[in-house]
Amino acid sequence: MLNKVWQPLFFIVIATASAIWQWSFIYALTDLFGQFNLVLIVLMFTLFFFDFSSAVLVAIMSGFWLDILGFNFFGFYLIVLFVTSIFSEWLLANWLTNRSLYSFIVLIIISTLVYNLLVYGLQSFSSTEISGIVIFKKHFWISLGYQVAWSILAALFLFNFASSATRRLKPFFLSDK
Amino acid sequence: MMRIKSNNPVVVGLAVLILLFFLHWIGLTRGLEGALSSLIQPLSGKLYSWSSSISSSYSDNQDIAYLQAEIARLKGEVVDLTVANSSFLEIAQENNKLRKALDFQDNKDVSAVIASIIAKEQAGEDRRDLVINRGSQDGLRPGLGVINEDGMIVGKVMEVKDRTAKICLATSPGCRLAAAVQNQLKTQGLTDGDLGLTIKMSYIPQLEKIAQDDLVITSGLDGDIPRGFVIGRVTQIINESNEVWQEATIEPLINFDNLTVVSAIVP
Repeated sequence: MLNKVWQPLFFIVIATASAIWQWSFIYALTDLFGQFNLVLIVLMFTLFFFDFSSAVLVAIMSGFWLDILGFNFFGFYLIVLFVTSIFSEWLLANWLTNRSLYSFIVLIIISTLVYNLLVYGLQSFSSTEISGIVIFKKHFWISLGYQVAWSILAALFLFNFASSATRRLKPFFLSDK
Repeated sequence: MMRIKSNNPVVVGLAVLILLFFLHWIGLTRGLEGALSSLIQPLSGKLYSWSSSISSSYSDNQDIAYLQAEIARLKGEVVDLTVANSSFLEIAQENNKLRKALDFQDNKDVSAVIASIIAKEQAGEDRRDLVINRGSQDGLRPGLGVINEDGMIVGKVMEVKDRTAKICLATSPGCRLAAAVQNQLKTQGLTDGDLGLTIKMSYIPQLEKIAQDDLVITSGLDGDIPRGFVIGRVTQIINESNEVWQEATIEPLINFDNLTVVSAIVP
């Protein structure tokens, strides 16, 4: 594993790269592919496989980059990603107590829902373009559906990737032999 | 009693957030934000053009049947336009002679700031805005018109930062332009994006006669956008006898997915 000196630097680089890639590359793709939320997936991966402190670092770095690049008010993504990481940590500590693929998928689905509610909630306060209650809009649920589908695919890939890199995620059985 | 540890990630994160908000609010991080934004602009531009070319090749593959029909239609149109063009060339030459004779000032006295698109932003249900690598430091301000390399309207500047600007597409809801139909009466109206796909022109008086295929241009009444830039072509006219105004659906003549370079018109 990464040592304590390099670990924060590693997460700063990863968070910066994912935010730039999300903003410049993924958002410009067509609707289906443009819904892939790389920043959130990186955040959840960090929280699930590393620790909450690293996840907070990723949330702040990604949020900062998205805020200086984008045209929402400053702090928009900082708030969204920070609150999502706190909620996900609470979920992980109190509800999803084991480190399994199923936990990771549930975590990623619920965090996607929380992230989207926060994004649309904050946008409805700050933008005149969005009116009405977002959960009653078809667009919100279609967009959420795409994001959840991408997130599940990413979870399957990342969990298998991580389990090949570490023995912590492998099942073990108590044998009487 | 609950104790709050100083090394609790929530406390540390919250402290950093408050510090960032404060520094941004008093303007201390503005230089850093601008420098970081400029630093990654070349990379953003590269990533955007890759993404844009992937998107357009994907949509091109999906629309082969549509494209074949479009080619057949355009071939017919080229023949008609070639005939029309020859007569317009005659008129243009005559016009130039008369302008010289009258010492007429060209009313398109505008300069353009060329910019690369570096990102797209989802700004609403049917609205995707473009972000360009020019901002207030390059003389841009909200309200300026944005055109493509052929001089057709892409949209207009909505917001500016020091080194970047956000532009709405003419097809995006809320992106309004003062427009005129190129017909005998020079009918005027207001265009607004419709579902991110077409453009709706409204406030057209009932008595004005507009026809399908009429060209729609900017009227110049916007103040910041000069007259004469092409917005699109009329495809449908909605004329209810009990309404005060009639409406027209306008099809833009450019593919907004393929854009990588645009120009902001600075009057």
